[in-house]
Amino acid sequence: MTYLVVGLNHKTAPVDVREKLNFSREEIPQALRVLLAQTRADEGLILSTCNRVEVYTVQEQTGDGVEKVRHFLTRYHRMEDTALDSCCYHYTDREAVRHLFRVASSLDSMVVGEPQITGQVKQAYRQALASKTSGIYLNRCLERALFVSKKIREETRIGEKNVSVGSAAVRLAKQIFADLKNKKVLLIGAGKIGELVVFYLEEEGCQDIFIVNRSYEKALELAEEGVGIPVPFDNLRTILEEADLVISSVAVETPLISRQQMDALMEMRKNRPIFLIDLGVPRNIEPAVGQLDNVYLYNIDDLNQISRSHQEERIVSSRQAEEIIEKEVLRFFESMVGHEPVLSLLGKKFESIRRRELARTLGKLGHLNDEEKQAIDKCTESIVNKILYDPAVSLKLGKVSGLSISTGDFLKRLFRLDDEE
Amino acid sequence: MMHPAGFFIVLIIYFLATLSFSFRLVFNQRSLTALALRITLVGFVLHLIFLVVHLISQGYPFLISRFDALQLTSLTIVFVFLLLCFFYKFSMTGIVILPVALVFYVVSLTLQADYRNLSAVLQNPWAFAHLLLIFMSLALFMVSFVVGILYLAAESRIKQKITGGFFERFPSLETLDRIHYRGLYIAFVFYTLGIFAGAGWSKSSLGVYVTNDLKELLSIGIWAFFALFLNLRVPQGWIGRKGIVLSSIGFLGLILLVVWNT
Repeated sequence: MTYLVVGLNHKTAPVDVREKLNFSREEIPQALRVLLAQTRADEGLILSTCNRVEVYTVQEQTGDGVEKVRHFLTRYHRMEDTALDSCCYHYTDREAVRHLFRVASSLDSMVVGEPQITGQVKQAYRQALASKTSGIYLNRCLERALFVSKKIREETRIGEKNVSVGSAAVRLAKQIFADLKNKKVLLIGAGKIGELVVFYLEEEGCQDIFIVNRSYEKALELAEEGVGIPVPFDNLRTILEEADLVISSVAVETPLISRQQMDALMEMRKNRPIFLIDLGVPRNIEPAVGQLDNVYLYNIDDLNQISRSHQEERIVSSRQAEEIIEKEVLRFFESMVGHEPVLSLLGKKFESIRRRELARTLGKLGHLNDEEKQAIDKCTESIVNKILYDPAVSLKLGKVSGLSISTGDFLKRLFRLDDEE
Repeated sequence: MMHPAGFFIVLIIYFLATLSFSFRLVFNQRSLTALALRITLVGFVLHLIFLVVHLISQGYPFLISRFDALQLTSLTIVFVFLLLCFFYKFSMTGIVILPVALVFYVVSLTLQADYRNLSAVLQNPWAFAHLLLIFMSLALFMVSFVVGILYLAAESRIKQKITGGFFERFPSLETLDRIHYRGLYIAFVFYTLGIFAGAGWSKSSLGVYVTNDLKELLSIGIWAFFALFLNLRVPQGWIGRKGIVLSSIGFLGLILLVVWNT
């Protein structure tokens, strides 16, 4: 039996291609059925997220499996056969398993360590189970992948630090303030990074967000996009008295806030703490402002620095994670050795019995329509899979207590599998 | 007299709890926090039981040996710590606060637990109330002070733009400042009541509320300092570092008073 994965992700395909190939949650059961029918694979699973579309299959021999899966993808989405030539990747066996482990552990993600992907893999697995397209081989592999992902999360610091400038700012804000939800945020100027920081703050539950811009129209525009409440530039001082978090990114010749002004402001504020983020180049806020009591001033370089140090920590963590994955892939295949032939022989035997009996029964029941025939087919298939589940587990464990021979040998004798060979 | 074996068991449990908090820091395993907290809780419950049993077996008057007083302080510190863990994301500070409780605990174990030759002055219900309130307030002042020190350390890191490590697992500056202030506030209430009880004691045994004793004057001076500080904190903008540094002056006076008295 061979594991195969065919797919594309954010590194290999632009968003417009990924968009077209996306499977909605509702259509996956149907797509899984089509996949198995078209590719003649024994088992199949579809993982479709905004950053990747991947099809995992298990089949007797790879052969033209890659081509078949690719055709399935293009045909299903009504695309040209050659549309995916340049952006598709595929892995088989050991590489396929390693790839799944890496994906589930978020090592292959756009933001390494982001936790959503594990949930998405779990979801895809659940759908395949529900559609009965995941059998003993995929089950084992997926269970292991989820286990590895949990292990990596526990043993490394991979998920601990977010790397973008926006999240670095939020992290700092959380070290200063107890609860960001009731804090007033002021955005001065309309820059992309400023908006990004505000976006992260909104995610944390910040609600009172004010926008001040030289051009009031621009502030209004942003407000219309739902970024915050526009305030005229002349009211900057008043709003600075109220705000707890200030993000500034304006093009100015001289600093917008001097130390002297801030000193006076702090007196008005009764020394209430304020977090200033200066994203402007040249700087919007005099660096000496940061020396004042209860004023925390960070500029774009400081945030970049933090972001970089987090990235470095992540690299160390991902190295540890890669090591864990290598070990787990090895362990996974070691546990398969010796059992695989028995399992596949057993599977083949059951499958041939099933096909034979199915053909016989369907022959007798000539009046059935296609849908009914398919239902019976699925039903028998799932019976076989369910019967095979426990032997597969026992094989993995190696020995059933009370038996003097290994489970594999026992099963071989019990089902006369040697005759089949 | 030897201390009952129970006190040594509690000592070991508190030590294990401190160790678990340190491991949490080194190995970054979240489950260790829950473990450390559970160990602390077990230690606290046993500590409470042993101390009560000890006090009852010694009989009235309570709390007049230095052993009892320091035990009470240590117990209160652990109690306040557990209480704060319940309300705030505070457990990481266990690595600093538990050792403080341990210091009081260990020092108490070096002292005599029993007391003969009691003077008649100590056989007074006012004395019990006074000592109980004063040593509980001392424990609260202590926790508040330690939280203040943590604030100063965490704040200087943020100012110096050093990120990561140890301090990121502590509560935010705002929370630390709030705990520091509230701790002071409650400690002050206990302290005030303790001073009243002391005055009552003085009246019933010496016939006057206040004597000219320097220690008494110092304790009233400290009271006045905190009364002013707590009232002026917000109007004067003594929030954060400034307030913590200022309050430390009063705290040092308090330590001087305790050392002088024992």
